[in-house]
Amino acid sequence: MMSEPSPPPEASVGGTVRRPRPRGREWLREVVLFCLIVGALVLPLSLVVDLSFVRQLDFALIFTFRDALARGFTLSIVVTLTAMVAGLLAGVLLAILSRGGSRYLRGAIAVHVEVWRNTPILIQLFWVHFGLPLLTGFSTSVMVSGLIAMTLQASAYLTEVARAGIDAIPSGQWEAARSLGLSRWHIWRRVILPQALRLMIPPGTNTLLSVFKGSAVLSVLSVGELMSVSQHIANYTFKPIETLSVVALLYFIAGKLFTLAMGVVERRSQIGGH
Amino acid sequence: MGEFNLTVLRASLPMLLEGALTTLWISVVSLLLGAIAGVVLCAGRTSKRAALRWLASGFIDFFRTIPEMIPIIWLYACAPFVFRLHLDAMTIGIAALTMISSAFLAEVFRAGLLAVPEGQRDAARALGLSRAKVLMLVVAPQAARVMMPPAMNIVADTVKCSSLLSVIGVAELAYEAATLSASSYRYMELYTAAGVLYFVLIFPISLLARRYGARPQRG
Repeated sequence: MMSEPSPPPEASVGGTVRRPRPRGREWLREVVLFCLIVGALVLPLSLVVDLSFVRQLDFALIFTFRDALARGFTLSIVVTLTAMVAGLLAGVLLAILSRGGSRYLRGAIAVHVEVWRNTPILIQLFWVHFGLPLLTGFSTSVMVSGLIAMTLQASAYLTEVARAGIDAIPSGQWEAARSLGLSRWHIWRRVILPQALRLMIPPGTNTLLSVFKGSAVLSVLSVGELMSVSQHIANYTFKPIETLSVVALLYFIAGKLFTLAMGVVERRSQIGGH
Repeated sequence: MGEFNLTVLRASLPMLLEGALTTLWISVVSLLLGAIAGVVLCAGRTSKRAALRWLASGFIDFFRTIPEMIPIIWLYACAPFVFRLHLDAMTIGIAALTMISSAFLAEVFRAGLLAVPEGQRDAARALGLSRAKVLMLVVAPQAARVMMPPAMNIVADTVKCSSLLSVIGVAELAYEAATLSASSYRYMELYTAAGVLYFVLIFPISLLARRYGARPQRG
């Protein structure tokens, strides 16, 4: 879920946020204070927390499952990227179609976007996996159902993103391209989409992250991505704390890598002078 | 098997509606608690003390990046090992949703505060208003306008996210749909009905977000 509100630029007007980095002695003071605050938070918790679990923590055991975790991790990323690429193609296509086309087509696209944006991925997943086969007669594997649901949701989000990107292209670009005698195909392919796709990168990063987070929901169907794997390991070893903490960290790292990668893509795709 | 069976729906609608009420209740409680925690996190994130900033931004960053399933499953699976007292699934679910929504709301609050030009604060201070009054009378009303659309999106996301609590057995809408369909085999009907109910809950919130967001603020 959670389409991220794009974080505000650091040190914008007035700079209420950017503070000078602490130096020398100040560093030490900050670290001590940090420990004190953590302590103040942990102390009341310790009344209800049974700290004996700490002695039984065994992270080495989790390490023996590294192959399974790595497979789950890879599958999570593959599923995310597949749904994202398919969703991007569908989204751009739907955004283009909803610009021209009949009123009915536009209405249908708007319904598609609103339905898939305003319902939880869990319901979509169950609907596709359990409901749709009764309608179509085809049963899909959990993996295929998961990909269908994630792609449909991603396409809805990305239709909106693509539409905003296309709308942001100044009309002068259209007029210039048309007056040069370019065909519709060439205008889209050579003039509008290259510029619109660049504008889509920052909001697209948010969609990528929410698709990635949605991939963990596939665990309810035991697709075999990281979350399913971790639950299997936790049940098998009876060590949920270690397993889930490690997996949380893996997800965090993957999420950060996605953000970093998109930042690189954004910088790379910048046209000179911007 | 093929056609839509409405009698099943009529029989299960009361249960679904009850589930929808639970969904609503969970979302409201989590969002209220999340807003309180979000204010604290936002204060920490913008504090003069580096220690507070590290702590708050660490929390915010972590919970914004990891999938929502993680805190829910973590708390549910680990609670018996960690806590002395027994916590039911509902409490655990609300705690998890609170943590997630507080992280997102903290960023929304911060963005809102940053959007108010520094000159507004300076001017109000120069007029002799106290710090508290500056915040309450000058900064907050202006920040609230900017915050509305993203905050509404967080509200919508939290309602969507509450469906994940069905995984740990909280009897909200998604859970009711799952149990009812598993006993009647009418998956299509029940999940469609659940989807419609979720849509009815979430779509108005999205519309609100769009209405307030119609005039984007550009500096």
